[in-house]
Amino acid sequence: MIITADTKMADIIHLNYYLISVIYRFGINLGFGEDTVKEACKKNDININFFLEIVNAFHDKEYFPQSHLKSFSVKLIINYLRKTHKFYIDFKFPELQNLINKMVNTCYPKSKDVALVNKFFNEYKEELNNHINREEEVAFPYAIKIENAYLSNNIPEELKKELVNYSISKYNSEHDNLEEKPFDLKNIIIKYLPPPTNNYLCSKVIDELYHLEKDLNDHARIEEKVMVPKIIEMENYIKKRLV
Amino acid sequence: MPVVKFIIVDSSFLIRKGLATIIESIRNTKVVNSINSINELINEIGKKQIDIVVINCKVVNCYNKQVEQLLKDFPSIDWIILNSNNENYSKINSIDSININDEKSVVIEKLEKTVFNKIKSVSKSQPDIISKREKNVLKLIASGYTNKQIAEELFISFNTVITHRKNITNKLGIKSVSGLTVYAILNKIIDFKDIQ
Repeated sequence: MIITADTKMADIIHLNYYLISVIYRFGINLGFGEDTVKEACKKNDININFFLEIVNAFHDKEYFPQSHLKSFSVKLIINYLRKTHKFYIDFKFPELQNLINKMVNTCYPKSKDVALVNKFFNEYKEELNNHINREEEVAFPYAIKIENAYLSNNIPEELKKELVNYSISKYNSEHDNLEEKPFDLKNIIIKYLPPPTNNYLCSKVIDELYHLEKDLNDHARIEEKVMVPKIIEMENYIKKRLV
Repeated sequence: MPVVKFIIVDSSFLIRKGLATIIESIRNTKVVNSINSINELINEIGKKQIDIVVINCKVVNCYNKQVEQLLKDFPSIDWIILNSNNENYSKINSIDSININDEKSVVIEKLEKTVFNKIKSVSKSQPDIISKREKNVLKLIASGYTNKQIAEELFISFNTVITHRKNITNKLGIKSVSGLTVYAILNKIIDFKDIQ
């Protein structure tokens, strides 16, 4: 099902409850009543085409945006992506870390090697933080510069040099492997740690890891399917003008 | 268990979608791409590891030469032809086929057979327990050795190291080096002290 301007907000959640966290990131809160997407976006001052693009890309792996491509800016996408990063850093990672800590400390009283799991997750968190920083410090500013140059038809010297060495597709290739470690951690808990004394806590950790893995995949898809194609199109336009 | 990877080539979205759903209902399978023309197939086929191509009979017959070239270029890929009633069978012999009017049980049986043969040929029915040799490789991976260093240490070729690593990952379900290290310590293959 494709979500449209006339779809009711409540129906979106019934359709796919993972979309709750996406909707939160737009600043829309629960208690929709009978509001449709159109009404909710108006109330919260949100670009409706952008909202639809994001929820549809999140909901359907095969959804491929085309028609709205020009109706919202790269800045809007980046603003959303930054909010998502903040959500990971401020909420998701600390929450999961707490949970894993608790699991390690209470579920396996007889094995001291289990402390390794903590270390493993810390390393992963570090890796994700680095990845997020690289995006925010390199890829996003670059994307904004490209958009500015495209819109104003004015290409600064500095950007010309950058265009020779960098392309947004490079950033795209850096994206691999981020969901590798949650996958490994799931298998370590499921297969290789000794039987836990508290099954509930362990299944909660596994549940959260599945969720994180899926969320990261969907997040990457939005970057790859919504942002990157837009930038590539603009890059090509600018490069043509340079020749 | 290794995952058997499919590409579907058919002009109809309904058929591609339906086939993908059926294929992925079989264990250890993944449809990595579903496309609608021979040109796209030629473009995509070398890019990723592909095990099986399911392709519409019409495409095969119209582009006989291209398909035969692909068969030659990628001998390790298996092909399944999708026939519909009023078409002649494909001009290329010795390829499995499914008819569009086949019942569910027939379709699944044919697909399962192909998947099963594929898995057998890849893993040679190894048990899911890592061998002594793999254990040695794992020990070195967990101790921070690079592939090149492992090859030198164990007097084996670089490619053999890669193959061992792939098999270890398939058997354990762990991909990252730090994940493998955790496994190695938990199973006393190396000591905590060795990685400091």
